[in-house]
Amino acid sequence: MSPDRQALAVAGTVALLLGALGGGALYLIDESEPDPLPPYEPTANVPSDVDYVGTLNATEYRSDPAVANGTRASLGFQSRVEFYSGPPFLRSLVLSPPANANLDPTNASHVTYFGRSDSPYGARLVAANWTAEAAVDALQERRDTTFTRDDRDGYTVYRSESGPAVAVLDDGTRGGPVPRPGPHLLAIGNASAVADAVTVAADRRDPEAEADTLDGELRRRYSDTDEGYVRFAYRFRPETVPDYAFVGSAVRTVEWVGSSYTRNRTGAAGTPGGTVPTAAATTPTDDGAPDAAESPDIRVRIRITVEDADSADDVRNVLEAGRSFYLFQSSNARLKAELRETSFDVMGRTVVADYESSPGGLRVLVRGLFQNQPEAESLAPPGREEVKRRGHGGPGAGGPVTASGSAVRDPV
Amino acid sequence: MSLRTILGKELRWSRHRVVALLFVLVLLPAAFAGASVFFQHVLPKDAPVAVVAGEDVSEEEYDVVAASFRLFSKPVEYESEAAAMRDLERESVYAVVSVPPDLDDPDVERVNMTVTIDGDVTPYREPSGALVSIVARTMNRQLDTRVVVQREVRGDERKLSSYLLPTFLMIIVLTFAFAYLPYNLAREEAVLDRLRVETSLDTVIAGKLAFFTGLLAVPLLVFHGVGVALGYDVNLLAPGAVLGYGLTFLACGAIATAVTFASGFGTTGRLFNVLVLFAFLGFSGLVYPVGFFSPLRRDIIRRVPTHYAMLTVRGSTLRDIPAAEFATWLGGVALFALAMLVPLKLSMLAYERGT
Repeated sequence: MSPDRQALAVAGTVALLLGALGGGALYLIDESEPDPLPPYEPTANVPSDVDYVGTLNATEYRSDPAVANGTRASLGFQSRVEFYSGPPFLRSLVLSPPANANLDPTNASHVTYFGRSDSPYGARLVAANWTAEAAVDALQERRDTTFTRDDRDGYTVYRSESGPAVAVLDDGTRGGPVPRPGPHLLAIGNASAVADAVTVAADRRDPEAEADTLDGELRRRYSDTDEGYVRFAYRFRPETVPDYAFVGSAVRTVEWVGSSYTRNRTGAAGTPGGTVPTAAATTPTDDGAPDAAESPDIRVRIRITVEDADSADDVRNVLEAGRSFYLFQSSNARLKAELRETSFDVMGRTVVADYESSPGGLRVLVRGLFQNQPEAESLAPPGREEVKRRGHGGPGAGGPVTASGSAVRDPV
Repeated sequence: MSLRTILGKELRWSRHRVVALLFVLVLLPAAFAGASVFFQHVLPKDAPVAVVAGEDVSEEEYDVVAASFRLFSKPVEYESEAAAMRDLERESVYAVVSVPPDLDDPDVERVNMTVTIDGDVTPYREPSGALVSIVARTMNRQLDTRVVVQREVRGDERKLSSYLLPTFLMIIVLTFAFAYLPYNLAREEAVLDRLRVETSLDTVIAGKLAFFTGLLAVPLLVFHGVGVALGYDVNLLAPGAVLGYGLTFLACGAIATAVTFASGFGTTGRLFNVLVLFAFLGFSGLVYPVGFFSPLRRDIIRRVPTHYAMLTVRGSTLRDIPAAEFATWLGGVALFALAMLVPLKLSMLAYERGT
């Protein structure tokens, strides 16, 4: 065989081998992997014209009891600020179902919150292995009301006389908004908000229609938040800001607030600043259980968008002043280390506040940061006893946090 | 001649003056409208304030005091009170705050904190009272220790009329440079060409600048006389003040002359000089403390040489500070004046080539 023919034979053999390998790989891939499922998009069925939107990855939230407790406490303090207008996280069926409810909250994977500020309009989209009937039963228990079954745009809707409604946006068969067989997608909340969610879902299914889904600035602010197990954004209402001396005008320039909670596994090994964990690290959580030593740190990032860069500087100064006072007053070494790591950066007209803490310490950190803000003119200074009662290693002073809290607006 | 004919004539003539009209009707209004962004606050929210942290003051003690002031001022850390007081006199800062060393001592129930201001900086006196009140309230609400914040006024509390005397003279100097000098040059344009036959244009312009600088002695004496007659404690004849005014006129006169030559002694040049005059009046910090209206304006003012001339004049006339104390600033203004001779020379060369 001539050298040319030899080379031709070798090239032909190699080409055949490669072809066989490629074909086999394609065959194997085709056999072993079905069409990849599109990820669940929690905000896809949120109607437009809402003031807040928030999502909770319930699976990740529940994966660590310490994380869940720390997050709940932190959200509680965050949402009790007088001028908070974001999602009412704390009393949904997923997080706090009625004791006698016939549904398992651990079967819920995602919750999406949407609604309008200062209005009963609001609902949750719950992706869970729940039946609509179980959710309706739980609501009946809680609200002492009865529901009637109805149909709207081809979706089953349960309405009550007192207001709440439940709609089944996905009945658990593949092809609905939840791209897996099994979980249902339920819209639970105010009848009007639920009806809007049904309309959006119907329009999304109809190739001829254009769904009037969440869009515009609020969607952009939500998208700007980090990928976290808790994410939310809301339109700020300046008229709710009390009369702060000098800084009130700066706070009233806030237009949008976004926030995210992420777990940072790398932060769990040591404390920020390398300090030795002290009392706060072993502080019992809400349910009395001590923090798990291996629990990841929780990173909270708040994005505050204001009118202009100058106002952003003012808002950052307000936040930094709160931290300085808290740092000064606290005698907790670990908390001090965490406070020193806290950052407030201005990016254009957005202030980005970043804090990270162990789940057990987070509530102490966030409570102090939110309390240690300049005092509103309209609030009376706290009495000495109240100051002592607030103790966080060192007592803090009053701030723009109401005693009653504003998180509980719609106990659906 | 009918009104319609006259209006038509005006329109036709306007075409010949389109550059000047564009300047007056477009550029000037745009500049003024744009300048509005530099005015954001009616209180000195961003005025620099010295926060003195002695050796026995912890970082957290400093931070909490600085944070209290940062909401309505720009705290600047100082290690020694003497340095802070020196800068207070020179208006580099407008108040001096001493951090009490026992602020975080749990055994101490009450601490005193002093905020010192200069009685000569009249526009800051009233706002500083509000500032002290707010800081005291903020700290007492946030801290366990009772903090008594006292405001101390250094020197006599000067009246606004007395404070403004050196400022008004500076406004006269700037107006003289940017309005009267170009007007005078334009009137003598024809004479300049004749003088160039006997001497150089450089000598003619140098002589004119020197003469007009000397003429400033007249308003200086008038102002000083009026000040004495009204019983103001202002020494406008202090060497630092004379140097400050003189160097400012030389620098601004050089700019105005350069613009005049560059525009061929035209109306556009004169209008442009008016625009530059407004810029110097607005961004030299002549009356209010820097940081009074916005941080942006503060940062610009701190880069304008005539601001330092004004501070030198105020320091010399109101506080009798020797000129040597302002040697660096006066040197800077002198360098600025020298630098402005470069565009002047270039514009004169261009003029000579064109005629």
